[in-house]
Amino acid sequence: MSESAVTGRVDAAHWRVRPAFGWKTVLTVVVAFVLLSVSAHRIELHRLSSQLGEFLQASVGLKESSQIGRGIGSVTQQMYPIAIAERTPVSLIDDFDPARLPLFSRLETERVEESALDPETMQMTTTTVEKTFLVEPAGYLTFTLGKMLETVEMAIWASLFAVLMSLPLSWIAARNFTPHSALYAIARSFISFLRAVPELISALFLVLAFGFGAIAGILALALHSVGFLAKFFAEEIEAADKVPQDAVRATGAGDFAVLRLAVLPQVLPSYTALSFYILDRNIRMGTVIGLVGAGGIGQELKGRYDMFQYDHVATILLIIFLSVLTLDALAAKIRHKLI
Amino acid sequence: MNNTRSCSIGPQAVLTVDAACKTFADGPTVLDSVSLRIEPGSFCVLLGASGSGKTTLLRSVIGLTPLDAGFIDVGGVKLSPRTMRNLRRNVGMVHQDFGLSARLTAAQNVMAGTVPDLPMWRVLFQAYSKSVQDRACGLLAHVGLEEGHVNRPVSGLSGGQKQRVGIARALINFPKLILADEPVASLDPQTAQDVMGLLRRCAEEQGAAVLCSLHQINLSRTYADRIIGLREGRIVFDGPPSQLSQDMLARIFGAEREGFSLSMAVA
Repeated sequence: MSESAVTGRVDAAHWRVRPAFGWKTVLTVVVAFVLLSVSAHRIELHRLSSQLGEFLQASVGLKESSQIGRGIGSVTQQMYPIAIAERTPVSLIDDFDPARLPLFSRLETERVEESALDPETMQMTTTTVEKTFLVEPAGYLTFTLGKMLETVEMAIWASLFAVLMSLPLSWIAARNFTPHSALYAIARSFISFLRAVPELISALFLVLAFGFGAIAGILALALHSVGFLAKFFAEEIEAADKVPQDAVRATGAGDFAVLRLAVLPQVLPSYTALSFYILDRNIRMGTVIGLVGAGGIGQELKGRYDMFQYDHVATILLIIFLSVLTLDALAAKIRHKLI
Repeated sequence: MNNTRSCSIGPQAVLTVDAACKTFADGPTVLDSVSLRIEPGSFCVLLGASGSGKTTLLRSVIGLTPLDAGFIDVGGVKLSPRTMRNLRRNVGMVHQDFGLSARLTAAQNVMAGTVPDLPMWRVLFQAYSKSVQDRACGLLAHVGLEEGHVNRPVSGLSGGQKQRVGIARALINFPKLILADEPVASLDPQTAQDVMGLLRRCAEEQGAAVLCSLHQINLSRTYADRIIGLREGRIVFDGPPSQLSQDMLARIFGAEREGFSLSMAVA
């Protein structure tokens, strides 16, 4: 042992402090800059800045109009007032009985001009007919709320199926509990595959298989959720404290008892939090996958949007927005209570 | 030493370890041909510094750490993958960090010791039979837990209470051998005395032999019938506490090394 090590005096003249940024960092930044520049050119990112500039100029009066303003403006004008009432021509209602109207509803009669092709003269003729409408003052609002409830129900079922599928799958996909390494590899790749397929795309095909409606939506949401939940469930199992596991194993117990009595009590809070996150996410995604016909409020939104009925679209958007906000707060409260 | 190798296999031994060797992949040799024999009903302390191989030896007895060479025999049954689960059932173990599931109640932790004999659904719903429930309550009362703590999660218990639950769990299968891995390492001196006393009393009532690893010399002297000194994976002392001289302590703890005072080991 040298003198200097004992006394603590060491000659530090040749010591150098490593700089905070090395050539690797500089190189990474330069490469990233070049790649992003190429990409910006490819996707015509310059249009973003020119359009935003045009919009800003228009909004302070320097320009007459802008593309963004025209696009948004026409839609927003038609959104107000939002659609709350439902008007249905009585001729479209089966077995209509004027003596027994639904609660709070009334009948309105108005004269409408109708154009039709005369089959004999082969010319368009316009006739004025008297039409009776059944008006339900909050009809469309309640209908949309019902659709939103359907979306929430879809999300709950999808999350429930996802949790029930993920529990056994995560056992196989946890490295320290898998029955066989081949099964582990299969389970992991299956989970990655499920996660890699977006709901919107699986819903497209599930609608073909199961038809339009909630079933396809529930399956699409559940499959993607399994890809997410099973991965995190398995990682929780792998990271769980080993001491209680060894203690249960030391009594002669098998894997199932160790998982149930030493692992599950540990991971339960994070399992609950993850499941609630998935439910939250499924409600938001559930509103979207209706766009491809997989049930819920999205299907209604898509229909009204395609028919340019922007007042109805506004109602739907408001309900989605308020519901997600409310459910978010509710979920946060429940999560807080459980953990 | 003569007595490190005096392991003729006899039917009366509750535990026989013969030439146990273990080297971890990236570490030193932790067990270097360790042989020992535990008589029924005796209270043996494995004494040694950290890293001397105490924990590895205890874990290898029930196969939690597989040996590289040598064999283990518990009550006439040789440890093998085929016999392991059955063998574990007849051995109680008390763990250093208690090894309790924090969110399960004291009673659930104790009853968990009986799961190897239960069908899957009973494990899943933690539905234990009345006799198991009664025995768990009796054991918890016996180790000095109050009634109010029986159905509370063990995370709310003190260290001493946790280890009492740990001892109750080790006793639930009527073991003839109890392994205790540093059972009082995380407890204060007074609680450590209480828990060691409890462990010894329970083992005597049960007629069980105890193999308990410790690093505290005082506790070893007080509670052991026999002390086995381990150093760097070898048995360097084996005898009653009365024979544990300063020389022997120096041999166990390596006090001949420069800058090491024995008081550090005693403390």
